Amino acid sequence: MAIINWLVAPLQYAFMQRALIAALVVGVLCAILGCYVVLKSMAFIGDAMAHAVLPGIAIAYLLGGNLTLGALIAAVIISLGIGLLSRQGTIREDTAIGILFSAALSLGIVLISSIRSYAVDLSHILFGNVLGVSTQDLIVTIAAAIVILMMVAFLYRRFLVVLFDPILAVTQRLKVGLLRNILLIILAVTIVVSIQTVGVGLVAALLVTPPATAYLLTRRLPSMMALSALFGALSSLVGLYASFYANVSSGAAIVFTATMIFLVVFIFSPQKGVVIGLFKRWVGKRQTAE
Amino acid sequence: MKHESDLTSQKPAELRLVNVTVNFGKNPALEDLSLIIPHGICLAVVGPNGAGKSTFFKALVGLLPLASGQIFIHGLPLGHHKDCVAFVPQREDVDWKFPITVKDVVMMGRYLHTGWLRKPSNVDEEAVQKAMMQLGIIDLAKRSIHDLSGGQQQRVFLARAIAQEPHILLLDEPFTGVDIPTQETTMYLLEEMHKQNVTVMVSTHDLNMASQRFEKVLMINRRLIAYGTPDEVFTPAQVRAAFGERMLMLNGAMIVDDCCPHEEMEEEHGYH
Repeated sequence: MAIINWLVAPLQYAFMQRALIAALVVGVLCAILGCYVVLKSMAFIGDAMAHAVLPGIAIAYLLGGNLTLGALIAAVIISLGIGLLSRQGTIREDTAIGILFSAALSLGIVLISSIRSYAVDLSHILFGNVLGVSTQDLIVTIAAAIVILMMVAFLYRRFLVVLFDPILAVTQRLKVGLLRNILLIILAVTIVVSIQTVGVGLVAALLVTPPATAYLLTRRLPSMMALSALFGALSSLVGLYASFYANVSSGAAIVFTATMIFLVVFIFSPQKGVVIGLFKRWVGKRQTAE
Repeated sequence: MKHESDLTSQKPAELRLVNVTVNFGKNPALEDLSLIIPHGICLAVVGPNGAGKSTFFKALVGLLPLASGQIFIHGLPLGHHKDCVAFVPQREDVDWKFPITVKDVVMMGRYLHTGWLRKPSNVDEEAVQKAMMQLGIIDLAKRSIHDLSGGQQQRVFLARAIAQEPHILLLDEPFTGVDIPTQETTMYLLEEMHKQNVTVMVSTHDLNMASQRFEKVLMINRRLIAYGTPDEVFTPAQVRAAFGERMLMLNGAMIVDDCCPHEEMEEEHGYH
C-alpha cells in the first residue's frame, strides 16, 4: 500500500500528470529517432540542432511570434546550413557543425541577455521545465510525436536502405538527398518538442543514450527501436519520480537515469558487455595455459 | 512498385558511354571514356590503384555525377532506364556494425519487386531462400552481419545481388581479401549469371583471373587504355601504358607488382 501511495501521490497534481505524459512521449520519440542518430554517428548534429534553437526562440520572442515555431525554423536552418557548408568539401562536416553550433548558442545568449524583461528563465530553456508543460504544449507534443512516428513507419524501408547502403538506394532510384533532408527535419522537430522536457543542453542525451543502450542488446533495427523506446520511457518515469521526491531538476534526473541504465547494460550485456568480455578473456587464458 | 514483368520484359541492357569524364575533387578521376558494352557479356575491369575502377562503377550506377559526357543504358540516359542494376560494393564500403541480419540484407534486394510498404510475397521469400542457398549462407540467415567472416560477408552481398534479379551486375574487387572458396563461389556465380544473359562487370587486381576467365577486358588508367578480348588487351605495350613502372618483363612473361588494393583514392567520398 505504501508503494502504491508513493507512486500515486505525485499524480494528484495536474501539472505532474501533464509532466509525466510529456516526459513519456518525448522519451519514446527521442529513443526511436535516436536509433538513426546513433547508427549514422549524427550525435553531434543532434547537439548542434538543439543549441541552434536558442536564437530562434529569442527572435520569436522579440518579434512576438510563436516560440516553438521560432525554434523549429532555427533548427531547420542550421541542419540545412550544415549540409551546405560541408557539401563543398572545403570544411569537414564536424568542423562545420562545431562552428555553427557555438555561433548559434552565443547568438542566442546575446539575444536573450539583451531582453531585460524576458519572462522565461534562461535556465528553463537550457535545462528544461517539464513541470511547466501546459495542456496546449502537451497537445502539440503528442500531435508531433504521432506524425513523426507515422512517417518513420511509412518510410521505414527507405530510411533503412538509405542509411545502411546508399549505393543500393541509388540503384533502386530512391531520392537519397530528399530522404536525408526529411530525416534531418524530423529530427529537428523531435528536438524542438523535447526541449521543454529536458532543455537545450540535454536533448542530445535523450537521443543518444537509450539507443546506445539498446544497441548493446540486439542485432536488428526493429528490436533496437523497441528496446530503445522502453529504456527511454523507463528513464522518463524514474527520472520524473526522482525529481519529485528528491526535488532535483527533472531533465537532469531523466538523463541521469538513462545513463545509469546504459552503464548497467554496458557492464552486464550478454553479448557485448564488459563482464562477459573479461570472462571470455579469462577462459581463453586458462585454455592456452592448459 | 515495379512489377516483375516490367523488369524482365525488356531486352538485356546495353551500356553506352560517350566521352564520360568524372571528377574527384577538382581533378579528373576518369577522362573522356567512350565505349559500348554489349548486353550479356562478362567483363573484367583492370588497372592500377587509383586508376578509377571504383569511380567507373559508381558513375555507372549514378552515384557520382558526370563532369561531362553521357551514359546510356539500353539507349536511355542514366536514371531513366528500367533495367535493374545490382552493385556489390567493396567490403570496406559497408557499415558492418549496422544491426541487421543476413536475411534482412538479402531481402533488401527484393524491395524494388515488393514495393516499399507491402509485406514480402511468397515469391520474394523464395527468391531470398534460393539466393542464400546458392551461396551456402542459409544457416547464417538469422546471424548479425557483424559476426561473419570476410568471405561470408561477401556471400551475403552476392546473395542480395542475385535476389535482385538484375540485368547488369557490378562487382567491385570481389576477389580481394576473401578466401579461395569464396573466390571460387563468386566465379561460379558469375558464370551462372552470364548464362542467364546478365551483363557482368567485375573490377579486379587479379590479372591472371581477368585474362583466363573473362570474355572481355577493359583496361583503364584514368582514361581508356585498351578494351577487347584478353589477348588483345594484355600486350606488353598496353600493360606498360596502364601499370608503368610496376610492370616487369621476365623471360617473356609479364609480371605486375600491384598488390595494395586498399589504397584506392575513391574510398572517401562522403557517402557514409
